[in-house]
Amino acid sequence: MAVQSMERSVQRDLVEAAQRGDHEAFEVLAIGSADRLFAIARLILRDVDLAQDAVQEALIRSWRGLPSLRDPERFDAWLHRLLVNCCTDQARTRQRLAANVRVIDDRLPDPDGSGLAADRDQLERGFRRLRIEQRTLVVMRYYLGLSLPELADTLSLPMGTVKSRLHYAMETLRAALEADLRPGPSATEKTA
Amino acid sequence: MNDQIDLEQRVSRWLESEARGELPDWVLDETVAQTRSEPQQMPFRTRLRSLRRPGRPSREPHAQRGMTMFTTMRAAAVALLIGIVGLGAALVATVDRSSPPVPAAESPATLEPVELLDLTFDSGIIPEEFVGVLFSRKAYPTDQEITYTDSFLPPNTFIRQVESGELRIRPNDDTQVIRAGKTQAEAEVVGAGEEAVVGPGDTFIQRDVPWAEFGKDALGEMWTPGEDAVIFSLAIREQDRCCAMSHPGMRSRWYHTLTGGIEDLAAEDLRFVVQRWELPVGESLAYTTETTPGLWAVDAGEVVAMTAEDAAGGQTPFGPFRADTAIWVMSQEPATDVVVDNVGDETAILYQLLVEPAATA
Repeated sequence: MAVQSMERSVQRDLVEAAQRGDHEAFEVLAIGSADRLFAIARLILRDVDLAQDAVQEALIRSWRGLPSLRDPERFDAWLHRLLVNCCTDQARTRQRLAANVRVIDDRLPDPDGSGLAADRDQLERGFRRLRIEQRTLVVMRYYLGLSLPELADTLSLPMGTVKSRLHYAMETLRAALEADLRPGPSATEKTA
Repeated sequence: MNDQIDLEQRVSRWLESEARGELPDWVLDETVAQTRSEPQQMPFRTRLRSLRRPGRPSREPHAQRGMTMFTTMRAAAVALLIGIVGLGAALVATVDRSSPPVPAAESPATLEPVELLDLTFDSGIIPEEFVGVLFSRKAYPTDQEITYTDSFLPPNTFIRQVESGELRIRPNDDTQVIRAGKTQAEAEVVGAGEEAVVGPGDTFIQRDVPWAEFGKDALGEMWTPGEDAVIFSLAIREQDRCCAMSHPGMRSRWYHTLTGGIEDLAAEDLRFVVQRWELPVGESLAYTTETTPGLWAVDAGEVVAMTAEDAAGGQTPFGPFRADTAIWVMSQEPATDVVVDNVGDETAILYQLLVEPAATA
């Protein structure tokens, strides 16, 4: 707890310095956040290139907008929100792109015998059916572990909207898992 | 309930397994480099307070000209800084090209720009859903193939000039190449699939880029065959076709977008001019503005800018605008006297982009 508190204190100092235009402080924040943001963006967008662009844009927007962030303690939540907005923008871009070829990694192990490998293709298929805002909620709830009030706060959504979107998203994923299992994944999969 | 928990756990495990991978270093490098050249958004008053510099030398010679423009200029500047927030980068600048820059009192008449590019196109070069001209300067290392990612959507028109080094190109569509020292009328055409080498001072123009046919590869193949290359470019872009500008291998110096009413210029032909200025330490540039859109990018050093009225009245300059950190442009009423001071400790280098009706040139 003490370590976490110290990290928070350090982050707050960095945010405040960056708000005053200290670019080196911003670089530390950006480096510290980059991989996490990239993971979130990849999960939401299902596309490495678009995720890279979304992270890049989110970090640039954060630099520009830092002086307007009132509470430095809320930097992470604020950055997540910027990222979600950028993912939405990128998803729109994606709709204009041609088909996307996704290589499925057959080599991923199933070390704990949890059935993850068996779930993967079904979840992937179900996840791709979700709208971008539903994906966002699923990722932030089940990857970042945000509570429902935190989701509502971070995304500026009414609690009822958060609950209903999440409910329908999870039902879609449940349906995908319960669908008849098809033969194992092919080497490539085309998606629109 | 157990069923729901099981589903949540499976989703959570799947997301964890999918969230592997790190953001590539080049993306982070580009991001950090770009933010260095991006001003932060601040309330105007806060910005002014932070820049106030008492005791600046007065500039009576300028103050005697156009004092009546002070109020208008201030209003325009406020509107302009608000515009920066929306556009993410730019002040909109104007310079009267029919009136060459007048040296400031502190600056003997040694300051002349180097004209890098002067091209005229029919106004059809501005697309219906025009969003701006992206003005950029990039460096590419030796033996680098220049590629783009899937999220890159090429501009409608791409005008590039090699400042140093060489670039080998193999375009997907007819490309005009204007060799150094030649005029636009003397342009060569490199056809689709043909190969050409462009060197210092050479300009190549890809108009009506066939992005629908070739996607991210619409600009064709490009690579640096032997040495590092530095290129500046004007990318004329359309709404909804903006994209990530960074790409593997690129070492960006800066890029900024000029909007500011280009699409409203009532002219059959439009002239695009790029000039390079070198402003020694302690020197000033002074000139009288027109209303055509323009943009300055600071490539090296540190400058501030102000109207003559501001300077004479001890008012705050705009800036400082530093190398790789800033661009300044101002949208002004005509015939406003403006001063740019080098306030750094090295020669300031500025690139200036102007767009104006060809008829006034």
